[in-house]
Formats: sequence, C-alpha cells, structure tokens
Amino acid sequence: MKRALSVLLLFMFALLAPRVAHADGTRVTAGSKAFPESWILGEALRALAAESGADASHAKNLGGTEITLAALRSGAIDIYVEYTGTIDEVLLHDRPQDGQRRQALAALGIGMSERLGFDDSYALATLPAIATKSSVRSLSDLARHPELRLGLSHEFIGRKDGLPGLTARYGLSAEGVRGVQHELAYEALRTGSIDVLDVYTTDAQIERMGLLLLDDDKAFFPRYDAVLLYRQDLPTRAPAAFASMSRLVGAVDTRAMTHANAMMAMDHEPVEKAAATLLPGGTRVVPGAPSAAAEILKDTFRHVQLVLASLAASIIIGIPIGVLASRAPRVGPALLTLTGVLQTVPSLALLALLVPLLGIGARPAIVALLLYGLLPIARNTYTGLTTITPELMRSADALGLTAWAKLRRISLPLASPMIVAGVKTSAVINVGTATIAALVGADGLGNPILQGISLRDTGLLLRGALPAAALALVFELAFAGLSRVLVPRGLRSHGAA
Amino acid sequence: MQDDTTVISLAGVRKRYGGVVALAETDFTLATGARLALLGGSGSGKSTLLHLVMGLIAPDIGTVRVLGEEMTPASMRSLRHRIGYVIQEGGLFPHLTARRNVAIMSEHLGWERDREKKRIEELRELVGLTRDTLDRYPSELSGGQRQRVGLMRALLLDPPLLLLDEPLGALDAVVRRRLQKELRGIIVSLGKSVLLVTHDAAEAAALADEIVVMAEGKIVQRGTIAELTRSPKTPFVAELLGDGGAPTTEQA
Repeated sequence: MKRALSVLLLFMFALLAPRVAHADGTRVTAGSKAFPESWILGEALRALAAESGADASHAKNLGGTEITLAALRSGAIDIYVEYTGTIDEVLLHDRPQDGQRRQALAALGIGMSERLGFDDSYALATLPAIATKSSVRSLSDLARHPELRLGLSHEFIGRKDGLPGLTARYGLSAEGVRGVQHELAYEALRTGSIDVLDVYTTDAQIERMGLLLLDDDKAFFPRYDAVLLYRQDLPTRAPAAFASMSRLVGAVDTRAMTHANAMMAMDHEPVEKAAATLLPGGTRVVPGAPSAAAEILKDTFRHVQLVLASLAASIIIGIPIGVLASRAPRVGPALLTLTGVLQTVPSLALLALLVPLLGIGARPAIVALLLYGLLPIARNTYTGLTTITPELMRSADALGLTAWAKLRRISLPLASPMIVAGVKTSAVINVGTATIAALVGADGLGNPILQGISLRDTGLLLRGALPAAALALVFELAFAGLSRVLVPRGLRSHGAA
Repeated sequence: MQDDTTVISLAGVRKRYGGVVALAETDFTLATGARLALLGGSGSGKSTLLHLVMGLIAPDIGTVRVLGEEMTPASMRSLRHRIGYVIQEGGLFPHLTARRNVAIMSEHLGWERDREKKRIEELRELVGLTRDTLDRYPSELSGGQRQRVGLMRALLLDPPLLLLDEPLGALDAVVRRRLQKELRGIIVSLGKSVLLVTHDAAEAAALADEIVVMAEGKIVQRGTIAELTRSPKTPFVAELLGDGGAPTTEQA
C-alpha cells in the first residue's frame, strides 16, 4: 500500500515539476485552440521556431480563447495565432483601431504582430438549393424566414460578435437555434437536419460543398484578421525563434489557409504536412510524422500518468474528507455535499476557472480530475466507516486506544473494502474524464479524440477512444488484483471491490 | 463512599435521551472482587449503566467512579486499559487473526515481543485453545472459539475489572452451558471483579453471585439469587427468575 502510494506520488511530482530546459536554453511553446486551422498555424509556428534552433513544442487543443489567453499570460505558451475580431470581443468592448488594440494587449504583457494576410471571418452559410427555395441571399432575408433551422457552434451562440449581436442587428429569432459542434454541423446540413450554419470563411468545406455565404448586408461581422499574439518578453528572450516565426506575417493569404485547412479536414493529412505548405520559402520536406503506434503509445502513457497522478491526489484528499465527515456530524455532510457539487461542474467551466490559477498543461488537468475523483472516495470512506457494527465499535472503544490508533488499526481496515471500491470507481471515471485534459494542453488520449471529432475522422477518434476503453478495463482488472493486497484477508469474503 | 473495597460507584447518576429516561437517578456500587449481574429486558437501563461505566456515554448529572477514579474524558483511556470488555462473539475484528486481535493493545503499547508472546501463551492455556487456532481469522473460528479469543483479549492487560456484555448470547445452548462454567471458573480463579449485563436469568445465576434486576431505567431489586427467588419484590422479578433460578443452585 505504502509503496503503491509513493509510486503514485512520484508520478504526480514528475508531472508537476517544470520541464527541464533544453540544451541551448531557448524554449518556445506555440499554442493552438481546438480547431484545425489553429493547429495548423500552431504547428507552423513550432516548425519555424525549431528551424531557428529553439527547443520548440506545440500545446494543442486549448479549450477556448479565455483558456488560451490565460495560458499566454501565465507563460505556459509563448505565442499563438489569434483573430482581431476575437481579441476585440474578449478584451475590448467596441470596435477599436489597431493602436487601441495594441495598448490593451500591452497592458496584459502581450504583443501583437501585423496581419498574417488572411481574414477568417464568421459567416452564416446554407446550401444553394435551400437559398433558392426560400429565396434567401442575405442575413436580412434570413430574418424573414424563421422556419429555417439554424445549427450553430456553441462558441458562436455565446459570443457577442456571434448570435446575440446578430439577433440584435438583424432581428433574427434565436428561438429554435440548436448548438452543434462545428464540424458536425456540416454533416447535419448535408443530411438535412439543419438549414443554416455558421462557418469560418476559410473552412475548406465551403468550396467543396458549394455553400452559399449569406450576405452580411448590415455589416455586422467584424474583420477577423489573423495576427500573432506573443508574450512581450519573447522577442528578447528568443530573438532567433521570434524572427523565424515572424516570417508568417504577411505570408499566408486566404487561398493558402483554405488549402491547408482542406488538406486536414477533407483529405485527412497530418497537421505537420498541412503546416508545411504555409512555411515561407515554399513547401519543404517535413520530418515524417511519428507512426500511429508510437502516437497511441505516447498518448496512452500520458493518459495513465494523468489518471494515476490525479487518483493519488484524490485518495490523499478524499479519505481524510470521508474520515472527517464520519466524525463531525455538522461539517461532515456539508463536505460530502461539496464534493458532490464539484462533480456536477461542467469540465470546460472547471478548466476555465483553473487555467488562470495554474496555467495550462498537466496541472489544471490533474486538479480538475482530482476534484472529479473526490466524491466516490470520500463517500465510500464515509459509508465504510459509518456502517461498522455498533458491537465492533464498542469493542474498539473499550480497548482504550488513541483516536488515531483506533482509526488506523481498526476503523480504516474495516472500511477498506468500501474504500478500495471507491478508489476503483474514481479510477474508472477518471480514465474517461481525463480526455478533457487535452483541452488545457495536457495531451493524453483526449488529443486524438478531439481531433477526430473536429476532423470527422473516425480512425483518429478511435485511436483515442479504443485505448481509453481498454484502459478502463485494465484499471478495473488491476483493482480486482489490488484489492487482494489492500483488503485484509479476513474481510475478503464480504465482497471486496 | 469510594475506597479500596469498591471498583464501581455511581452517585446520583441520570441519563436521558431527549425526553426518554434511559437511566433514572441511580446510586450503585460494586465491591472489589464481587461478581454481579445486571438483569433486565431491553430498555431496562442495564446497557446504559454499563456504557456509563465504560465511559462510552457521559451522565447528565451525577458522577461515575471506576477503580478509584472519576470517569472523565481525560481519565478514560487509562481507565479502559484497566477494564476488560467482553461482548457477543468476542467482538473480534474480522480483519485481524485471532492472535492479532488479542495483541492489539500490546502492539499499541509497544510491548517487547517476548513479553507479548509469553502473555498470549499464558492466556491461551487459560482459555484452552490450541496454538494454530490463534493464527486463524475470526470467520474461520467456531462461536465458542471466538468467545475464548475475546476473553483472551479482555484479559491481556490483566485488568482488575471485567465487563461482560451479553457475552454468550450468540451461542447454542450446549456450548453455552459449558462455556458458562468455564468462564466462571476462570473469573473466580483470577479473582476479577465482574459486572455482567444480561437478559437471561440462567446466565446471571451461572456467572454472578449477586443480581440487580432493572426495569424502565430503575433498579428494582438487588440481592443474591436465593434472596430474589425466595422473596421477589414485584411480580416482574418473580417472573424474570421463574425459570432461570432452578438449575443454578446446583452450580453454585
């Protein structure tokens, strides 16, 4: 038991410890959000930084603008590609000039480059057949056709420069709007379950599906020019890498970006290959992408690390909570309720709260997972301790042990079958939940799953989902074996874990 | 009132739970070396009295003194080292072997291994168990064996006072009668003071010399088995002793 714990602890500290700097001392981390265009640009930045000799890495799939900005400010990433319209929406409240934008960013310690050269705006789009049938050409027309079914991405529904602003400007009805994951919305449109979706103007599907973009006749959508956002210390800290990455500025036009997006989204090319087409000086040979097997192994190993580290923390915190709950009649139930409430907080919301405090990477992921894992452990500890028969409790009391000795020698061992069952539940839940770690750049099996969903690439999705399912099974079996070690022999007949 | 000749004394002790009187204001003493049974049904107050003596509950009013000391949160632990407690099935912890059940307190107090071994061997011979029995888990023992192990645990620190809490309740009649005899023999030979709690008059008569009959939180009558049988104060006492009294006379 003790050795198992110390191994778990070691895992946890290994993950929490800052990564050792590379030989040349310049470490550059590019970031990207959870959609293909962002990955391609993040990968291009990484490749350019690596060319300059820096130890470059790429934190993919960060779960939204707030999380990514927080990661930039905390130094977890150094640079990423953002869109001017998004910067205005998140940081500023009106439509500012470049100067104001720069000022607001500088106040946060963030620098902004000139435009990369393409504009990835929002637009609403539909199939030509639908447009003809309802004679809808513009957003004003759309407002007159409430029977058309809108399937919009969740981010679009929430942003001021998305649905709320749109309904205000055009008098569009927001009723009956359905939230659909962006890439799935194309499929929904194709199969006729929705009529209108929101698109990014560089989406490859627009051209391939021959979609009609509805005219923004009241000029609602701002420009979404791509720019580099970077930590202000980056140009001095890593001048060579910064100069190399800055070569993207003015070098990526809409056609090039759309083409790179199509490579990933339509042709299922790896991100490295799509990114290579954007690199200044023409396409060059990219080091071959690691084999699928190697990727799966790496993601699975990382996943196990995250689960074990968070599980260890859940155990270390959850068991004392359960013990406290069993002894403090007022505080106890309140504590248990709190761990229950924690479990109902949506993962993305929890991560968004944690990233400003902990940055990105393993830390916020482990903390989120540990919070989700608390309830089964704390509750089972509590139940195990409070269901010891009164006769045994009296016998224990009568001995004259100290409270601690009674807990250690008698109560906890008697509760151990329940506690081990709780730990097992936490572990199996965490194997599934740990896929969210990918949203804060902690990698793991969530990476192929998120990318698989975004790219509608079932093969890629299964590369994450299958190992995750297998892991859950392995944990289940491992615990059956482990309970033989952890639960005292005399108790095992009573249905241990 | 309290001196060397008294192991337990309750003075003006009362215990209520909400509006329910578990033990009405009561005075009670147990003399050193005496063997006394608290006899009554459920709700009679006999268990409340026992729990007060063990310090498991605190009285609303009055004082509880055990072995010359007042039972308080501060004195409780050291007092419990001097009280042996035996309950149904021995109250054995299922996660420990019989030997480790017996040795909980010697481990806790950090006894030398030789001392512990020697003491356990003494007790094993006293209660008449084989060596290999001690290496089994409680679930692998018979009811009688569990009871003997429980007695070994209660006697480990050689306490002057034994509390027996319906000790043989879970055993079948034959084993029970045999164990009653043995238990009495052991207690008498060791000269322990005994407070027994039971609802069974035969058991009270078999293990104790004196009986306190309790009902509804009060002491109804106190006396030897012969006295109570001869002149019961109430019909309830008579009824309680009706079938229990007879066979015990031959054992006394």
